[in-house]
Amino acid sequence: MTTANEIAELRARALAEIVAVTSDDTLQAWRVKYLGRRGLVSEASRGLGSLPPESRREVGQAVNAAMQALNAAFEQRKAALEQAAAEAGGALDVTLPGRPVALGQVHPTTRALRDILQVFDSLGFRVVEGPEVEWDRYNFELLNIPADHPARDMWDTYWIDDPVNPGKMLLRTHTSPNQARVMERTEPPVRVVVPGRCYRYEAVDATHETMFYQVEGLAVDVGVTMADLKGTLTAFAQALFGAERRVLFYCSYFPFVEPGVEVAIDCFKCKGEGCRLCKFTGWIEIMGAGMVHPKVLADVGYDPSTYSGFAFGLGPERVALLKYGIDDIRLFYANDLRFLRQVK
Amino acid sequence: MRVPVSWLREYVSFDTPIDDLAHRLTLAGVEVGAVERTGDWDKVYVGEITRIEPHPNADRLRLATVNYAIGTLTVVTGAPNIKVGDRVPFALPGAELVDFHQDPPRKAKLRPGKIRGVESAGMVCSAAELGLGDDHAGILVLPPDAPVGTPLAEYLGDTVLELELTPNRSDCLALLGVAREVAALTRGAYREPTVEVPTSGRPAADSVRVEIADPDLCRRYSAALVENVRVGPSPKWLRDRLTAAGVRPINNVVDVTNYVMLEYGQPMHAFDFERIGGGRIVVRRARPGERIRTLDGVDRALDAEMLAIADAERPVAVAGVMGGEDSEVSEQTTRVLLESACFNPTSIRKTSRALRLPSEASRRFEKGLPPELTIPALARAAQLLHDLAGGAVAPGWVDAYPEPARPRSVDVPVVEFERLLGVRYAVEEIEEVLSRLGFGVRADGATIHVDVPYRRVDVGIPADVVEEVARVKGYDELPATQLRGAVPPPTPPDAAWRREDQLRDVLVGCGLTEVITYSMTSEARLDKLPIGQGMARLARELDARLMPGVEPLRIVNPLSAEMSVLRTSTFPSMLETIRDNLRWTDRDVRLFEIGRIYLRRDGDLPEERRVLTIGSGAYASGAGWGSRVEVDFFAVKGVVEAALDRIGVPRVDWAPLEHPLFRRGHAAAIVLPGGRGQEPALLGGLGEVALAVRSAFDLAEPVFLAGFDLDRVFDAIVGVQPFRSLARFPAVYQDLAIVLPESAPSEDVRRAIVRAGRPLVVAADLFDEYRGEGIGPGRRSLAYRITYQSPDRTLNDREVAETHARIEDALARQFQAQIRGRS
Repeated sequence: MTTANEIAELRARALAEIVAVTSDDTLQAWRVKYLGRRGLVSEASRGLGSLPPESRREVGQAVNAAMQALNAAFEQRKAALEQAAAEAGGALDVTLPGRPVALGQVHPTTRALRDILQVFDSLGFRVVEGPEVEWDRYNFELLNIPADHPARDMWDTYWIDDPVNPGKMLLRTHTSPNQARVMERTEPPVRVVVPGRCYRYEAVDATHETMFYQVEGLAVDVGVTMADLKGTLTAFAQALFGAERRVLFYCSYFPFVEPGVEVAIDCFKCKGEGCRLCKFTGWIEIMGAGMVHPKVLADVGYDPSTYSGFAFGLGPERVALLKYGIDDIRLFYANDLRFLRQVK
Repeated sequence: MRVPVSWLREYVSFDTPIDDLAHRLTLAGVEVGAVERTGDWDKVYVGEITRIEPHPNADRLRLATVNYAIGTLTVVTGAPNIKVGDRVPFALPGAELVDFHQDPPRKAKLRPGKIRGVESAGMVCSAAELGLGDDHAGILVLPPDAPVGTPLAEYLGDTVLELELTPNRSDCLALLGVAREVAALTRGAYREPTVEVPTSGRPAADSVRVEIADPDLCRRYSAALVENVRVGPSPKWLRDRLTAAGVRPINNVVDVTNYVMLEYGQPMHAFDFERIGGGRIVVRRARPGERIRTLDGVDRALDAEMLAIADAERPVAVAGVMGGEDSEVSEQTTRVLLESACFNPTSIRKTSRALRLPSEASRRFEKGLPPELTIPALARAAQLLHDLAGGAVAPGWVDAYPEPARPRSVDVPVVEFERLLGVRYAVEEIEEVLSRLGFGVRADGATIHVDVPYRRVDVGIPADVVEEVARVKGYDELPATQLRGAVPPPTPPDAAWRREDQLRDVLVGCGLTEVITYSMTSEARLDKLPIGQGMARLARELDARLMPGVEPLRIVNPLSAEMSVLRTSTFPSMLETIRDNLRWTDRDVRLFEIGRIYLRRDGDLPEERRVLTIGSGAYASGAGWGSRVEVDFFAVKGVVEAALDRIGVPRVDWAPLEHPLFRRGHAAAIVLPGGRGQEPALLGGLGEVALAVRSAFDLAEPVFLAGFDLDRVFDAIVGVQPFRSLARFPAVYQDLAIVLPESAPSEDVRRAIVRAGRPLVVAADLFDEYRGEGIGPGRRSLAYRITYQSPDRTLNDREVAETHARIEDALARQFQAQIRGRS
């Protein structure tokens, strides 16, 4: 005589067994054993008719419920086994390399130029460009460096053979000629940065290139002061080299500014202790600057008693040298991909 | 400029530590490049070599016995230059010396040790080991009167500030000028030497006449006559000072002129007066053909641009540059004519350049010296000759000074300080700083009258005075503020600089790496590129070198022949860069450069044409690990198309291009289609480099080059492309393969398909090109996937089939095409 309890026991046993089933064969055997035409559940339900009507109903429900549960368990297990079979084949070696992706790279100088120009753009300085082959007038004279001025020694110059204007055409030694070029064609206020190639008649070694880039900056308006120069260039240096950088301003000389300024940051490598990078001074020079010389303003028709301004010039290669710890400027324009691909 | 601190202290009192002083000087614009200490030797003494023996175990070494008063020790030395009786620096264990066995050399403590089996308890030192210069080959032999046993620090020690001066500060090429700075920065007391010159004999003017024939080149010439001079060595204190300052002592007369030059900044010259013909000094331009043998023993030709100091007949000195050998002071000299003059800086500069003869004197004159300086310096030198060489100074200076300089003064509005610096100084502060610097100051209401000391030739306008105050007070004291006022309008989006930068990103995304090559090149390298004929009309604008008759701009003073002209083509440097990189890798040399070429325009600055250059080797990494795929024309064309499309030039035509730079039949011109009165414009070209050119550049594998005129490309940008709604109805795709003559360009076929399939065909995309079996010679098969789509309905099979048939008919008619799969 079958009771509801026995059915429940049978169901529990079957569910416990199916958990251990890991192959299709044993799963089919399980099915035959419990759910087959002669399976244990069918056997159990066979005696239903002989039960008294009150318990027949109860046992009948238990049998149905058990059938449903075991069928569901069967389907679930079957799906699980199928999935396992589909995913068989072993785990990936996730340490294998990815497939190569062809990505190029901008030149380290471009990279540094972008960093520099982005900061100045956010400070309201707009980018303009100028010619690389220049007149003496823009490269020197309008910058308060007349012919045979001793300061000309500061810029060893490549001269261009020009039969029409002998001795007047040159390769610009800095992007500063654009101070005059911009002011000649613009009314104040002026706020520009000028990136571009420059050239010096200078033998190439680890720290000197005969061709390099420079970013010249110029801000002219009523009431521009050296305090503004300090604020602007401090913001720049901290944006580029780290917010914790200390920035040192000290006196220097460029004929087209007065007062003249040299800008240095505390050495980020040794924190000012003194190391090879900062030549044991604790400070790293990053650019020259100053208040635009009244003569420079006057020569382009700006009234120096009304307007004042500051100018600065810095080298993107130097920025890249410092930021990436590159020790030889010759690497920049040798264009070895092994170098170019390192600067990311 | 080397400034020995012990000497400096004669003119200024300060107790600031030297390192602090050096830092403050640097901040004030007088850069101290190095502080050289020649005094911090511990355990180093003046020793005397008493005995030298051979080393028992080494031929190159010797044993030296050294008496240093406190004791006597025997040490091993390898130096060849010592002998018994020499006084030498002698270091005991514990002394810190520069160790040249380390790289780079650095200071290390001396330890006792055995050298080749012999105990060595100390060391005799070279100058370099003591940090006194570069010479470490031999031992530094001291003067024979060096007191044995004296600590070397006492005997030889000093601290020297090495100034790296900017060209404006000629005043600091003098100890007195530096002392002024130090006084201003440290508030120390400044004092100048007391100069009293006892004179005797006949007035100088009786024997000497000075005449300035060319006053444009010489503002002032002052001379003094000193008689009865006994030429001999200078006293030790003077020699030591000169040596510490980097000047070699010679004799008391020459040393005095150098001493005064270092002290006052005024270059001086001493002539043997007996050798000055007629007792006359004529300052004049040299005459054509005149020659002079200068003090360095070189015979030099002078020209009419050079200023000479002449006697009655001939040049006796090159003014401001170097004296003549003939009138040089010698041991026999008794009558000395001292020169203290003010020459035109430009003239001196040119002369010293032309003669390739930079000297201490010319360096100073070039920077500009005040004419007021000649007499104080002359007096000082005369005084020293009197004191040190027993000279009798003839009364009176002979002073030719046609146009005396007027004292310089600057009126500075008080507000100028605030206007330029952004900070307000009290008038008293300004006065105080300027006075310490030696300026005369008088405040008068809103203006400060400033009298500039004659030494300060660099100060002439209010901004200069503002800098004087700011630099002494320290730029660090100034506030840091942000610019006020209107921010200028943004850089326009079509600025070439922005376009270039945008282009870089697209090309980098395509796998290309940016290079930057020199703008300078050589004609030989440019000449490796062939100049085209015939089809050159197209080629010429692509790259200037490829155009006949383009002469590059020449550099007058090139560093080397390799970099003697400005490039008219970027192709040589691109090819060389590819070649250099292929030396170490076999793939992925895919490069671009955005730069300029320089094209001569007579009488004007050259055209600086912006060009994009693309270069690629023959292989790129494949999709599989380690795999390598061939690069072909179409791989590079794909990059070009992507780049043009992304920067806004979606439609260009590709035309076959014949040019000897490129492999025949493997090059194209990229042309912007004309229309509406616009001529088609050449944007650039692309091709596989011809074998001959490859060989010229040592390139073993195929190389692809493309060049673009970027201004034209940027001009072709069409701006914002209007948005097209996404299709709402499904597309139908049909493949079509046709066989047609090689002469029919695929682009024409594509266009014919689109035209014939109007309005249902929205695209015809090539998916196969085939030649060979079953096609026949001179023909090829092209296969297209055609997309049919309508914006307003779902297409039915019938209308697609009709259109497709129309297309087939059109192709058959237009290209004698056979439709494949249709008999």
